[in-house]
Amino acid sequence: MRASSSPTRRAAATLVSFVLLGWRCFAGAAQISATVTDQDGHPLADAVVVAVPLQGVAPHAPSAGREIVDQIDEEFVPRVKAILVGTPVFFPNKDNIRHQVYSFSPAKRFELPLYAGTPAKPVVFDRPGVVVLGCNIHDWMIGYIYVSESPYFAKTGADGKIVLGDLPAQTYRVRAWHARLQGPESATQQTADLGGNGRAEMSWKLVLKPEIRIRRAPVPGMRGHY
Amino acid sequence: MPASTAGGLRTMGNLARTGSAFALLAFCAALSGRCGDARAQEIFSAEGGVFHDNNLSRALSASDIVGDTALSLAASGGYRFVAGDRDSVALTADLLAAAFDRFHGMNRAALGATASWTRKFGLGALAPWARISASLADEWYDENVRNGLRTSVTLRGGERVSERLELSAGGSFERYRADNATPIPALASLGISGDAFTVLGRSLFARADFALTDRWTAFASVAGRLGDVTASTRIGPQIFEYSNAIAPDPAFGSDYFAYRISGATTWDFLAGASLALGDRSSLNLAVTRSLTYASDGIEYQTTLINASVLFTY
Repeated sequence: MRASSSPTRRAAATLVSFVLLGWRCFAGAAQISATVTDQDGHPLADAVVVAVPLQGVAPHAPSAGREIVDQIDEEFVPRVKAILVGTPVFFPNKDNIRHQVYSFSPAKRFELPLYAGTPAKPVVFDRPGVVVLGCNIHDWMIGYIYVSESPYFAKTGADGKIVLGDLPAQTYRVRAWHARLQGPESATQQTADLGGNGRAEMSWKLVLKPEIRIRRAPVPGMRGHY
Repeated sequence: MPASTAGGLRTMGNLARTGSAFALLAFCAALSGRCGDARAQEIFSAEGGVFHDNNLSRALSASDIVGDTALSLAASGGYRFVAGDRDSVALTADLLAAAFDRFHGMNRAALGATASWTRKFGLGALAPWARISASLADEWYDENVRNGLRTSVTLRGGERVSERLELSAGGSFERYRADNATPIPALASLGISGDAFTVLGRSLFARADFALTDRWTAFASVAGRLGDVTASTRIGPQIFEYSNAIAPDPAFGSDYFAYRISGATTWDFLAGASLALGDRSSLNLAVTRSLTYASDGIEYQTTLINASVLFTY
């Protein structure tokens, strides 16, 4: 009897396992595909899309990888970097001159005294928000670190597209940010319910401010500026 | 002192000055090599363009006013030392050349050097700054009566009020010492020297730079200068009333004489626009209107229009 019932039970257990596994696979495959354009419909690079679970964010350890913002040819590279809150970032100087990186942003105020090479200690970004980077020696240098409170974020490429994959199947508040965004980031918020088919297609058309950054190109009569 | 002896001494003086300029540059180069920790940064700029001066002779009367157009080239190269969190020092060699369309006697070349020290009073792009700079340049003209040494010291301070607007102001002292005083024998006996091109002046100025867009910048400045000026005119009795230094000025013709006016006030009003062609270059257009006044109703006006391409590295 036991011998005859065992295969049935085993088959039932296997079936349940397959169902559960399928469900888990399905749940794990939830994803958000997003497109970000400017007000004219042109794809927008360097926009950050963040998905925050409606039920709150479970604690996540920062990625084990070494996060870096380089200084190359007197510019920050990449110009926009998105990281998870708590992530340490190194600022290697790959120019043959010294830089002095700083930020006045409320999310992270810091100053790396004049240096060449790579500072021994990284800067830990422990509060979510946008951190604007500058160099005290080269005023035109500007960079952005987007510190996300959620582990589900991505930065658009030249095509203005991102895919947030492997998301738990639940409901998210999703928002988009760009360095030239006109108005508050919270105004871009949309809701994505991935509890159905586990997929959401989203799009943003962001209204951008004109870019007025401190000019690197020379102006006559201001030779030797700084 | 015989003229030939004086000329010889001046030539030796020129050589000594030019040698000093090169010695300074050699010192800079050597210093840059020794300042590994300071990380000397090579700096270079070049500006080529065309300008038109509608009163090149700085003449008072319409019949003596001559205008001309010139091609110009200026280049400057050297080192910048970031000496600390707030200070930087720049040392450059400077080259300037101009070639005129009609009045070739005004064609000139200049070689010199500039040293400047800049301090930022705080951290960030909006921190105020101050700079003191000193320069010297040997100038050579096709008509060598104008040859001489230009020296200047400038103190300038400024602050970027926002990403769009930067304001600056300062003062400068400038001296041009002509090499070749060419006295007119008949006037020398009257105590009138031939050193018409040697002038001293001091200026105060203010400037604003405003970013119209990410590529366009407008700029404007006003400067007031008090000191000597040199005007050229055909001979007339008025120059004896105004000046104690008169010399022939063949750059404008054999009948032109240059005379120095002391205590003149010049107001320069400059307005311009700059288009960024890339991160390191710009296309620029500027107009300067100059009004010069001196005692006894002396007054002349000049308009200078300058178009140039500026490149920095």
